[in-house]
Amino acid sequence: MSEHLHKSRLVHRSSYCRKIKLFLDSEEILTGITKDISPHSLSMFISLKGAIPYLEKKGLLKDNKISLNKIKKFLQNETVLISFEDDNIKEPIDIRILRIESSWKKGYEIFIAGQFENIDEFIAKGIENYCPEEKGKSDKKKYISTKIPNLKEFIEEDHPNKLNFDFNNSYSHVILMRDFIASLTEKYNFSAEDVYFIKLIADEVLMNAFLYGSTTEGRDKTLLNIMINSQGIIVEVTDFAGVYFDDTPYHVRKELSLKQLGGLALIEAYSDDWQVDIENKVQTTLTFCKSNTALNSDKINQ
Amino acid sequence: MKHLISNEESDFVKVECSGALENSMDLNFIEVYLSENKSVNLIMTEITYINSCGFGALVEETMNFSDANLKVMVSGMNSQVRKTMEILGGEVLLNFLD
Repeated sequence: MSEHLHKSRLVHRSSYCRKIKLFLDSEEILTGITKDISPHSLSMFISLKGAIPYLEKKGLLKDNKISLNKIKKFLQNETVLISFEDDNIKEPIDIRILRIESSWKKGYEIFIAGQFENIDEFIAKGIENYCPEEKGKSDKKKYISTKIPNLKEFIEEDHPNKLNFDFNNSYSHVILMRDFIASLTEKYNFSAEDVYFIKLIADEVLMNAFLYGSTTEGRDKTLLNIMINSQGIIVEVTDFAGVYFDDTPYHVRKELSLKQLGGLALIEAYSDDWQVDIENKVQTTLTFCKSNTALNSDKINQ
Repeated sequence: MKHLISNEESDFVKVECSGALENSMDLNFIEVYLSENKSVNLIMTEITYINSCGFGALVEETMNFSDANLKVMVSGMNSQVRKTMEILGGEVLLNFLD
């Protein structure tokens, strides 16, 4: 591997996942990953696979299976220690657990969101190193889609099906709503390729709302608005954290760095168009549209 | 995601994967080969879906193996899965066999 490539991988690694340890008490250490850290909170996926004897001892199994309800009661609002597997912050950090969700079909992984506690200036600085940059947010020109209103006009002409959902943030809702959106597009005879792409875009948008839209204040909910008929689909997802991110590089289609490649790159590649509206620290709405290529709506894309 | 070990040699294991690669821990099962000092070829002909979380897991495992001078190779993806991987930087971050 060339040195350049090796360096690229190191940069990319920091943007993807960070390995983490969670100390339940002095005798049990769980491992997992986090992709989502803010100056005050983080969310993580923690594996319980190696902790069955401990969970059994603590009475957290039911019929020899992991009981999420019991784990929730055991950990909710508790303060535990976590540590990162790198040299940025060497000391374990207190975190108060605010949310626990099941995250896997296999039943061995849980999603935990929590708030940092008792952090001193040195640790706060270290946490900042993990957080996405917010530079330049005030002087960016907002991207406004023209294709979304055009497609909306076409859909509204022909008996649009409008659906609105308001649900608590959870991984199971991400999967449920993603699959529901895919099934809707099948019902309206979108091509198999369109269905695949719409499912993937919805997956990424809803997952972003779940991962980055969870807030310790205000509404811990996601709003989903769908407008669909055989012409196309418009999906609008709103969360109530209002985390800033810069969507400009994706829209201007300039070459993205490896660090920037992720769900947004897929949304850009597979949707007809998308747009973000952010009210800083209040709410974020991401809207995407895709016309039914089986009908081919070239006029929509003009 | 399901997996089936199709061929296990002294320093190289072929694993046939099927279903969806969509979860951050879908590939945890290959870590056993890291501890056994074996490289892995993931045959993904039957993988029908991948998202950025699944891709992230694949990148993470590729790097973990690379740190130990081992390889995770991927092959046989259908066109949609392959395209998705390419958009996410797979040409640079993963080891494609085909």
